[in-house]
Amino acid sequence: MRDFFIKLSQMDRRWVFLGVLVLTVFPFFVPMNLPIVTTRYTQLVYDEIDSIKPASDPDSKPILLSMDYDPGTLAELGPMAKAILRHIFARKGKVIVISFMPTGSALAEETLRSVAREFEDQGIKEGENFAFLGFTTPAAAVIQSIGRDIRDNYPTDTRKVPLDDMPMFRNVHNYQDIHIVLDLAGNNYPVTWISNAVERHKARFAMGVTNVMAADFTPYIPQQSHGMIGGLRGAAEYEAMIVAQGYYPKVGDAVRGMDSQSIIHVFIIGLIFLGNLGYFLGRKTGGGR
Amino acid sequence: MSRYLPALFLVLLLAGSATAQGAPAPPQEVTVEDYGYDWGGTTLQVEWRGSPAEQEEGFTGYRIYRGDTAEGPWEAIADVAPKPALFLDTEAGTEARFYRISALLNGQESDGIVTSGSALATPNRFKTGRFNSVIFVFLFTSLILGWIWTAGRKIPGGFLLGYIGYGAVFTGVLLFTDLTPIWDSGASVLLAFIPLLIPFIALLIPLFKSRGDIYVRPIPAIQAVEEAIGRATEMGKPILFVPGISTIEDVATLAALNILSPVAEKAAQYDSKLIVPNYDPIVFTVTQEVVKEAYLKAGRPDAYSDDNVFYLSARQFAYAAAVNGMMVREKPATNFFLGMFYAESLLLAETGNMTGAIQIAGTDAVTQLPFFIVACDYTLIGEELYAAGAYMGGDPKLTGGLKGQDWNKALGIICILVLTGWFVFYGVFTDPAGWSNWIRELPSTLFEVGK
Amino acid sequence: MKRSLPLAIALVMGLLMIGTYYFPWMDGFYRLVLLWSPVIAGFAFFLGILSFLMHHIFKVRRKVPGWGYNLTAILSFAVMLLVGLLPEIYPRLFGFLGDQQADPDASVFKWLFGNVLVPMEATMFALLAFYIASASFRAFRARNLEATLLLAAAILIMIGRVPLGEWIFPPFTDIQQWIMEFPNTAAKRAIMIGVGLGMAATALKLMLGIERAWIGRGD
Repeated sequence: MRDFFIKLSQMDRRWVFLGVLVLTVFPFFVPMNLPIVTTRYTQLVYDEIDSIKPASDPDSKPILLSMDYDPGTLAELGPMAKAILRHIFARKGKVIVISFMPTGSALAEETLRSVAREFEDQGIKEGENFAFLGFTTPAAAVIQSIGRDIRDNYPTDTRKVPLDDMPMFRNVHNYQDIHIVLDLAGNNYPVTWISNAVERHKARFAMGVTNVMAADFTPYIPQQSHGMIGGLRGAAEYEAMIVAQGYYPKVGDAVRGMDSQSIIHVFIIGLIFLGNLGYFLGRKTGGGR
Repeated sequence: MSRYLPALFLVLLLAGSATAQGAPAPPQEVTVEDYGYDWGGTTLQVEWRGSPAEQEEGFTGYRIYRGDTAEGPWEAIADVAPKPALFLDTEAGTEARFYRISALLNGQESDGIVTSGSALATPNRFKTGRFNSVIFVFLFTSLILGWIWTAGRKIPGGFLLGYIGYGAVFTGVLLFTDLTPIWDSGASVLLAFIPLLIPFIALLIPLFKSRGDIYVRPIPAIQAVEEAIGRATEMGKPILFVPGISTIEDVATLAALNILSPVAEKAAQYDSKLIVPNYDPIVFTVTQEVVKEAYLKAGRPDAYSDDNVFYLSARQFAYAAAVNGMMVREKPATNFFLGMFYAESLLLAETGNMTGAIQIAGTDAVTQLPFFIVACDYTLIGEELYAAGAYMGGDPKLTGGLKGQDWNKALGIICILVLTGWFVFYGVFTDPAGWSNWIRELPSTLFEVGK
Repeated sequence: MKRSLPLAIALVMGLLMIGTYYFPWMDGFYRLVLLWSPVIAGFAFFLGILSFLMHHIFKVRRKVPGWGYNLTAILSFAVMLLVGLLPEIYPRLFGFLGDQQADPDASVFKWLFGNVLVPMEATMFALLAFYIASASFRAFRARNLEATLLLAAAILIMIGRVPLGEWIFPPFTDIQQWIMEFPNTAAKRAIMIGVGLGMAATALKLMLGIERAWIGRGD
């Protein structure tokens, strides 16, 4: 028995890989419907977005959504982007989408247009509720130039329609005319935003980042960033919130992903436990290292 | 009749409060001053204390008016969100301006509060709010430079002169700034520092005197470098050096290049194959140059081949996949992962672990450190990565720089402890509204001049 | 000269960039430098592409083991380049490849991007899940007190981050949040402060040319 556990604690890592594979896929067939509690940082972002005014209101200000992620981090940030866009469109708000990632811009456009299509019958229109301004570089210079006028770097959208021809850009010039800047990033761009938009131009700012990066950005909350959606977990909370508030009928990929994540975390804890069991048993008999 | 009087009062009172509820309370303490960061000289900065109505449902923000006199006429220039309670008027022009601000609640506008005086936008030679940072830059650099210049030798004759000249340059920069806004912002205490700068230098000098070799704490990862290269030679397998996936302006990348140079030199001496795959094209041109130079210095320019230092891909995961492939195929005996890393850190390190390589990692990306620590044999944590160049170069000036850095850190720790103690003391023992206010706020005044 | 010129450029540019932080009248210069850097990077990309092609062509011609991979790399490069570029330059001849801007759905380039590159990169990222499991299984051993504390914190975080944790024992979420907000942030700040000081010191040494390994250590 003891030998069995020692052997188990030294099993080939390919068994671990197999376990991860099976347990990740499993909840896609058998949903667990675990309750999702909202954490404070996500709630802060939600409240910010929930306070926008519909585009028909003359005081309505757009949200500037910077989607700075690429295919690698799409799994975490894609569901986040969708949930946020659904929230904005359900409130009939306005959103300007930009991207500083050359390969992220295609993903951003696809996400924006697919969500906008869902809300087409509710009167969400390009130029009135949303605009896609595409990819530009370098980020720091562009972010600063928006502090003067967004038209400096973006005279037109990607369809070559001038900003002044779109009703949603009426009276929108710089950060003072933007409800909040929201950066969804799998990299260090939130810091670029904070140092160039928040510190230099007093922009209001919040972010959505991957789980691994989340711990890096907590020191910026709440002074420089009004909140943070952290990883798939944050996205799941957001999805659950817009469903609970009746903005959208069903939850999406993030909530489903939480089931897998729950099981995998427990699996890893089990593995650690197993590894330590073997380690201690081995040490007692003097056989282990 | 008299019994109905109280009820009547109550009704009147209720009616009164109802009208009060309609129009919100105005903001308080509205001030205007020159915006201290612009050279154009047309920007004014308006600040106020929020209205109590901010807490109420339906509060939308403030309306800002501009006028040439304290009585108007007023021109509405913007509606702003409740926070931050600050507005930058970039079109204030070159005349003296007054501002009037009112609060907006459910479409109702409060009375406007007018600034007590006017302000004139002026061009700023110096970014006022960064006054304090000049002083900190001076403290920081003078400690480091002092150690660097005196490292490993007696204090040279010109040193004293040069050092005092350095203090004079900074004093000059400070005098070049516009002192009036700094004075006005209540940070006059800071001005006292200016004449202190030169004496401060004199105070520092004994610090650099009379000492032998500089002791540096041994870092296992750096001690292991030579052994790791030797191992590759013994096994007849290559060495892999990954300089991170950031650009050349990243200090982590530069630090990695500082380690690459001695590593390449040793590899050339031992006649081991060194593979350097690159992520960024500019970093690629530099690594190529560094490795070539190192081979030349080791007297083995013939052993260098462009084929071993090459550019791979600027796509994060394509790069990780390619490097992993190399590890699996060529099975390098030693892997170096130094520089800036993101999510690919564990992908690289765990694959290297599977192929049985001895691995030395180093990064200042705090989130990636745990991954390297579990999967690598040695890890340089944060600033150790920057220090590695000094350890390996053996140049006393570089170790002197480390010493200066440590002194700065010690100063930083003292500052943090003193300030924490300061706030705790005044938080616990003193009435916040009392006479001690300016003492309590002294640290904020010192650190946030002009903000 | 070969060494002193780059060092002089580093020093002068370093001082000028520091100047932009303090002097508003240098803002224009700062913006200029921001515009320069992508231009320089653009030129460097040519060198990168050249190196990429040379490296792989060399291996294919020598028929080194696994040269098929090198050939695949060259072909993928060529296909993506042509499919992206040709319809832009010769819209009449290569219009069948689709316009990326006007009609993204019909563009072959976008199709390759969305159906080849995106899934491949996502796959690489997904490997993380497997590697985290195997690395923690191998490395997390309660060898001593510090390791045991680390282990306990890791388990609390892992269970507290997922809904299952809340379902088992609701306070797990709060414990997790506390560990992240206090001990974790404290340690992180300590490292960050050290990193900040180290960065500034390294930058200073680079500007002064004391740390010069990056241009070759020879003197």
